[in-house]
Amino acid sequence: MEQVHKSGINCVDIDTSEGKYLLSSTSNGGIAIHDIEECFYHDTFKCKAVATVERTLKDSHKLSVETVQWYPNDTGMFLSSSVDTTLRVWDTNTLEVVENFKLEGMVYHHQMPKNARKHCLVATACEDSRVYLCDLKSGSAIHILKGHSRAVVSVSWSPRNEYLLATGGRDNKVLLWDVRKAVGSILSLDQHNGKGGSRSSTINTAHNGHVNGISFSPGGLHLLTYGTDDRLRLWDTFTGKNTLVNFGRVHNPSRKAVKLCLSTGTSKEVAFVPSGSNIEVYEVVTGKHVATLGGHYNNVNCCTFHRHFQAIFSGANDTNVLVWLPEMNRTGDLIAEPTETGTSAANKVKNPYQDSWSGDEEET
Amino acid sequence: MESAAELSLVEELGDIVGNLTTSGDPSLNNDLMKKLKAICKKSDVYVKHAYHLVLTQLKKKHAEIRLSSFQIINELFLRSHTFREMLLIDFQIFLELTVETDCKQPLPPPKPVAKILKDKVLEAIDIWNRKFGPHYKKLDLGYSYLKRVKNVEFNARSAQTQQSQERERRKRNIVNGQIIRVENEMAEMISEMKLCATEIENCFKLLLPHPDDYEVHCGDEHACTSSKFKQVTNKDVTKSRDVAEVAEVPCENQAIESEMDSKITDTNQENIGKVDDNEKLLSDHGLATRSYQLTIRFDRTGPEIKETVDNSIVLNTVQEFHKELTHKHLPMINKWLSVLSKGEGMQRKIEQLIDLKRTLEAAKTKFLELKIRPLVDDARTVSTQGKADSGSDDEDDDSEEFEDVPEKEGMQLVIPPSERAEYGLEPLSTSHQSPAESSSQVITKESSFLEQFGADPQELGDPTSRATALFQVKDQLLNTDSSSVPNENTKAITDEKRQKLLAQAPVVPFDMDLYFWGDPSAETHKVVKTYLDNNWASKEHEGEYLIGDQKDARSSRMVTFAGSFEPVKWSCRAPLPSGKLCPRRDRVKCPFHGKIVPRDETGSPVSTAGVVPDPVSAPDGSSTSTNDEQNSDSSATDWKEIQLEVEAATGLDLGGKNKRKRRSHSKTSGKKESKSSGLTDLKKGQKTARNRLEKIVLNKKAMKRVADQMDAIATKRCKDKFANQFNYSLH
Repeated sequence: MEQVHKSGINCVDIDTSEGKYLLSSTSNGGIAIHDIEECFYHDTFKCKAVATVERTLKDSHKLSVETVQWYPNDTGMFLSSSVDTTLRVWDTNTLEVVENFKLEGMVYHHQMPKNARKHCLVATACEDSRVYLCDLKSGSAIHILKGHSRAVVSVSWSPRNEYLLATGGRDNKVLLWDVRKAVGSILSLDQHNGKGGSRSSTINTAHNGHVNGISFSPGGLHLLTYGTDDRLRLWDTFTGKNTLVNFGRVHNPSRKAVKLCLSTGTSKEVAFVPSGSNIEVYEVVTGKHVATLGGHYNNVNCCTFHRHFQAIFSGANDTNVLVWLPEMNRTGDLIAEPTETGTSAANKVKNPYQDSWSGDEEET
Repeated sequence: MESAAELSLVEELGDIVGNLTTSGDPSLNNDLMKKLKAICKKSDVYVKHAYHLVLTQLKKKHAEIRLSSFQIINELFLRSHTFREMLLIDFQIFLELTVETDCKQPLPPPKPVAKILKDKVLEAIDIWNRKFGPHYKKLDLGYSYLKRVKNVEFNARSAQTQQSQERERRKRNIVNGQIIRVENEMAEMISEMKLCATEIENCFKLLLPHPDDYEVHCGDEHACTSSKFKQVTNKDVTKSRDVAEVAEVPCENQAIESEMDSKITDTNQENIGKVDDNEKLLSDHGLATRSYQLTIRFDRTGPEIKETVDNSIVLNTVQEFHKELTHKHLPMINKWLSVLSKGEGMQRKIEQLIDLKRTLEAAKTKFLELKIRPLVDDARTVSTQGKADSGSDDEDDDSEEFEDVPEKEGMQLVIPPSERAEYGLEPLSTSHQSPAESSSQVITKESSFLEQFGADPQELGDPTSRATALFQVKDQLLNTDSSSVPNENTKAITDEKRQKLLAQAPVVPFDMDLYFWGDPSAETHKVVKTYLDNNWASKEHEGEYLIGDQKDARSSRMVTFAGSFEPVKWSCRAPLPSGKLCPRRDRVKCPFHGKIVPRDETGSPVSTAGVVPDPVSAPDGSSTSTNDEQNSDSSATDWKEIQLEVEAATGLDLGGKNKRKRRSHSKTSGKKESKSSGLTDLKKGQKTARNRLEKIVLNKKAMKRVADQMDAIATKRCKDKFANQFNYSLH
């Protein structure tokens, strides 16, 4: 992948319609679009940058771009949210901002429902403890969800129910919302399932630390949350109960929103969880640790799963976007074992691995 | 079987790694390393084990251990694929531990070693990447990460070498330019120099013909010698020194004399009547005997040439050439040589130049050896002729006869006795003269004295005449001289002494003490006190008073004499952590590095041999104690060893078992012991100036004392301000 970024990658996203373009945003306000489809058919994995948005541009974000996301239906539009309190809607072809939502605080995360037909709302996790729903149709951000007591760090729309929204915040809570219900959240997830003692009856916490990663399973049946208490939790979205799957400790040094992803279309659902400079791979249902993908040299901020190629793309603070391909000889279960990188990569050649013990050891 | 072998080997592996990493040496022990490699070569199992061992060592917080561990890693990394893969899995950790990629985990002390470690690791990673980068993705990534994110300059080293090469090239260009210039100069000047050399040689030949030349001209020896004699005597040449150049002339001279002698001896022999046939034969040839004793006396003073009208021109030219040689040619040649020696392939030219230089120098020494004695008159004329080129003949005459004397100012006639000799006067000795003698001679003396100064003795009675004035002056002189100057000789000595003292004595401005110098009866100022405003003035209040201690003050004066300031010629030059040397210039002791001792260019103190290391000469005052400890330690260990041997031999218990037990105990935990042996102790307090001062300033007692003092001041102030206020005084 053509090296365009000069600072840490905050977010990567692949367009859902074609799976051809990779969107990435950096902590210095830049956004880049790479063509990734071509690379899969070549020996050397080198992605070309299609377009870049520098910070110096008039329209671009002046501060770290925390989240970027393609418009779910086509690649003509994408959304970006930044620490500079704005959510911008971009026209891809002209690379211009067509809509600019000014919010009250830093935007840690935003998400658009992937399969919403009835509405066109973007949920933004804002610093000021509220979730703003920006309506792309009207261009207003008047719909506010109040419920968190501290900053909201992560949001996720349910793929099954287009009105169901899950948010996680610094108050350790994960709230489930029905966006049609204006009064409040429908549920606050409780890590102890109501057996945690007297205190938990009033304040239900999902984690003992900030909830900075949240993701629905592709089917929408489960919700995976990731907290700074180094825990992953899997929730049943229907009952709102903790499934108590034990993932063990997953080191989570990041204090920003972390984008974790779950595989689709594989025999076993696996979750890719950025953990420090590695990406841990877990089986979702059993909580079994499958693999550790180590290749980054600094905190990994995001990873995203490519449906067609069953590859994951990960971005980290070391300015690299790495592509992890599944090992082809082990078909069936997808374990992204061999590493392929986005930056300046060659496919793995297996020949040079012979040991080179020099002759002088023979004598000794 | 394999597992058993494995176990022992694994143990050995652990020992080797432990020993290697805790040695504290900047480089690895070759033998141990070979053993390690041999073990690792057997199977990947050992490689893995070694990897884990080394990694655990690497995680220890000591830069020296890390450095050694890294060196092992480097060796294995270059050889084993398994090791490479294993290391690359933990490459982030490796980087964190060795090149401090994580700013929260700085490299452990000691700092200089940590710096070396970092440099070496970066260098090694560069090499690794070049060698394995394309095949190990993570290595490549790590490399690019270091390069892009951490901004590590991998090419710094190569850039440095390039820079130095560039500098070298520029230097060479400059040198080449110089050489070309020198060559051009040489082409111009060498012929001139050679000409000069030959000319000067010819001049020498003219002045001092070579003995070989004598024989060439004339066949008849007697004629030749006589003529040569004349020639030589004309020029007043006495030859000497060089045996090869032994002049025929004195030899001939001697020979003639000796002939005469021998004839005499011959006649004696004939008188005795024992005449040999052979001797007869000899005598027939005009030689009396074979056993001549020729004594040739050489004049050791060297050739001397008296300048005459004949050879003055030649001498002048020689002098000119000499001047040219010393002031122009030789320095020039020296310069050329220094330039040419920088260049390459100039051997031939340098040789040529050296030859030339040698000839020129030979000529120069020859000239210096010649003692040219200018005839006084001749020299004068020559010198004046030289001058007279611009002036007229009249002036010449004047200058020949009179010397310019600088005019004296003031009273010329009063000649201080010390300078009488200069004026050509006889020293005064009137004090020793008897009065009778003086009375008889007075008149004649006076008249002669007056005549000497060009005054008429007849005018003596006339008070306006010069003679009277002279006479008065003389009288005055005599009076003073008789009292103060007893002897010329002692006077000279005292003068010398006086000069010395004067040179030392401080100059003070004129003041009252000098005014009253040596006057004991000097009056002191007295003040009459009157108490007019005081009605009840008693008697004692009236009278004369000295002002203060004026009497003493009058005769003495305070002079602050601090001596002259001598600038300090040396600096401390103790090595600083920055790599420079301490530039402080203190006279005796640097406040940071203790007493100033001679140091070499790296700043380590030069221990003067044979000098017992006294506490002051050590760079740090505190280091001596450690020295002593070490000494005592070493002696103790020596004694222990001896004791062990003695005990083993005699079977006696010499005591000190306890210690031995502890030693053996510590041997079981061998790692600890080896660690204490090689590595620098981190816990040992660093001897910095800061620590030293800290110990004093932040001493608990001192702190407490200061705090108490401050408290006391505060309470006192409080009391002063508010003590008389009711509501505050309650508190």
